[in-house]
Amino acid sequence: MQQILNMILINGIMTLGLYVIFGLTGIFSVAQAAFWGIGAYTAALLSTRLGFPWWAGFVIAPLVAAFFGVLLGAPTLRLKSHYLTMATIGFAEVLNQVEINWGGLTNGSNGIRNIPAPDLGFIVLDTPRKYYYLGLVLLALVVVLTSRLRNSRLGRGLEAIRDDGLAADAMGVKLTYLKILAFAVSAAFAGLAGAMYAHLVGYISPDVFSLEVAVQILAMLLIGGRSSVTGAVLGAAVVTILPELLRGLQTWWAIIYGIVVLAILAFAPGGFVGLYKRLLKRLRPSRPVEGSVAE
Amino acid sequence: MSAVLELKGVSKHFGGLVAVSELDFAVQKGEIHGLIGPNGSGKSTTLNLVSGLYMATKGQILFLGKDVTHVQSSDRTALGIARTFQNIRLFHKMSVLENVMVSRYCRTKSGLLSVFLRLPRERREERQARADAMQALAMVGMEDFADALPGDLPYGKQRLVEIARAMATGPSMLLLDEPAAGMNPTEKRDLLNLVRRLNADHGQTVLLVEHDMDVVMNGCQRITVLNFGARIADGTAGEVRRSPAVVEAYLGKEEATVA
Repeated sequence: MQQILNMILINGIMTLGLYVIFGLTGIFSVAQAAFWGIGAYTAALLSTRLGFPWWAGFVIAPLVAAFFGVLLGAPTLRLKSHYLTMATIGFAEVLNQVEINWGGLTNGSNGIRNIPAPDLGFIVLDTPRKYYYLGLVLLALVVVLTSRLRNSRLGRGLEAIRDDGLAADAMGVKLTYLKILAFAVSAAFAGLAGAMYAHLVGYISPDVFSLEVAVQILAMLLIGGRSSVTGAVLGAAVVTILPELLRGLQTWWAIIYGIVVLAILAFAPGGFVGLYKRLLKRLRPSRPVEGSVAE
Repeated sequence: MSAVLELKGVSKHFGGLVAVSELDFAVQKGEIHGLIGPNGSGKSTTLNLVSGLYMATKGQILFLGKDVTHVQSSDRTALGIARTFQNIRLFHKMSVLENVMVSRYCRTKSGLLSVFLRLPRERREERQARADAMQALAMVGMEDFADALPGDLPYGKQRLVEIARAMATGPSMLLLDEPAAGMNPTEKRDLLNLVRRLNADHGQTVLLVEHDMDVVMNGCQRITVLNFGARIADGTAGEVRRSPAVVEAYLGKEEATVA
């Protein structure tokens, strides 16, 4: 159970990363798992090969991931909607292949073992229970950063790009700069989640950072509600717990899980948060706007 | 009076089609300048060339004496050119206030670090941006709708929000692309009064592309008439109305209001 809680925190941070690029900016990217991998490998290599202290990974991994975010974002900006998505799929696939085949760096399919648990001096976070508090602090940090971004000139610029890029441009919003910024921030969050994962589990291998994870993160954001910070975290919690609850059903769980996801997408496209808002509206009907036309 | 905007021999080709050809005209500071012409005469194209949505194939565009011919759209906004769209383009998932606050982007500076740390400077900027946006909404009488979503507002009010959004960029020149399109007579009158008020109270220079003859003839101090992408007349409403070329191309064919 403690391990599941930790995974909720890690997935929550990754989903917030997707929220920045997809929810805020409207760029449908499936590269989150790749950035997660970059963060995990960065943290793992720093502590096992280069002898850096554990916390260095938590600082450097997001930066390295952000760098790759810019690297992916800059050349793909001219691509429109689904072509851009294809590019992010390609990026994720290539990165996964690098993790598998660049044995000298990543130790290939065998992965990297013995990644040390964070040592705070007075306590070593070597059990999921102890680790949980570090994760909670980091998730809280990312939640704060994401809401601050959203409620800033930068966040409004991103949302304007999402709603109407042409109009945003005409209002003086810098599209290129902001899109690259969104890629960097979203990658950095995923990179942080990667460092958390590496130091929590102590062992990483390429099969963890597959496209499947990217799709799961997407499900988390859509189920929670793509247009809010709360939705991202809520979705991460639900989608992380759901498979565990359905585990008793053995092979059936995947089917039920799929149906639940589909049902939410079909009947509550705004996710849980959208559902909640609709409910609120029904309970307390707001005054109709004066002069509005009934359609 | 000095020219805010000057077009010198501006042409725009789309493949083989010449949408605007060798166009010269100037908008003077503090005037409401109308740009009219029959369908397909190139007036919307001209407005898009001025706002930077299209780049001119030939010629030169000067704004406040500066050559902006090759300056991109968002930078022109920062220089002081703001616009509305013929088919309203508001940010539909953002509140009315947020829509207008987007326009303060180019007048504010806070970077990612100041935003993440919520530095005092960033907070000050946010407060100011909010106040500026509210002021722009008040200018068009929409301050009571700040929290509404644009989609919940009737068409005429969405137009007003678009004008507030353009005004919030702090423009030296406001471009209005057929603002009266799809409006009923009352809304048209209110719109005309608003544009006049912006002009009188704030000295706002306006370039108005319009189909509606009443709006143009009553609202504009100077009018440029286009036909087939070229200028055929330029002057006050009275002068334009008497111009034989205009009568032939536009007013002479049928009733003026048909267009």
